[in-house]
Amino acid sequence: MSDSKKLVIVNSRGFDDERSSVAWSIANTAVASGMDVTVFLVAAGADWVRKGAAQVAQLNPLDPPMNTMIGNFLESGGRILVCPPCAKVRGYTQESLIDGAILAGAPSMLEEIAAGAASLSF
Amino acid sequence: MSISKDRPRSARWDAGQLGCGGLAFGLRRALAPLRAGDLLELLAHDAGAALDVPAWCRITGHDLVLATHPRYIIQKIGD
Repeated sequence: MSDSKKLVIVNSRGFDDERSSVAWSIANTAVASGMDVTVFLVAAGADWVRKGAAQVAQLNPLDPPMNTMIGNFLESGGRILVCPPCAKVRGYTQESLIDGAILAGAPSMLEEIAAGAASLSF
Repeated sequence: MSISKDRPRSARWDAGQLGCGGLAFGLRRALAPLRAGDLLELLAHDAGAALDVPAWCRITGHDLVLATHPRYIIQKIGD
């Protein structure tokens, strides 16, 4: 049942919080290390995948720009789920989101945990 | 056991726009009064339901008989 290569990162941090950069940096590290990674964006974390939103953001000058980290994550096979109520309350639909970010909630994330994924929360 | 007792019953729940945890908890509540083998017709208009309902069924073991968003039919497994 346990799968030590699976990781879920829950990120509730938005553009005003440096911990967002840490979350995406760890997500990048995990996919670069061959892990099977799901980022679950909740609350203000959903803002990261609104089309165009991350274009000019860099929350830590020693981390890559946010857009680069999100793009690298997706290109490396990372999976991004966006909590539907968190998106909806912000006026976001599936069409508002970048390609690769999918509206899906807790059941989809918890399936990874049930399959043995470790989890990190920001 | 009579034939009518063995025949699966069915129930219907319109979840409206509920999603994420609200949808999952509502599903649990909707299935609770049903017996193993009974069918629940679910209407779930939340955009995430297309992934979340199948995921919830895989976690819980209930059988997803039909999934044509926003309509789903779930067969309850035994407790």
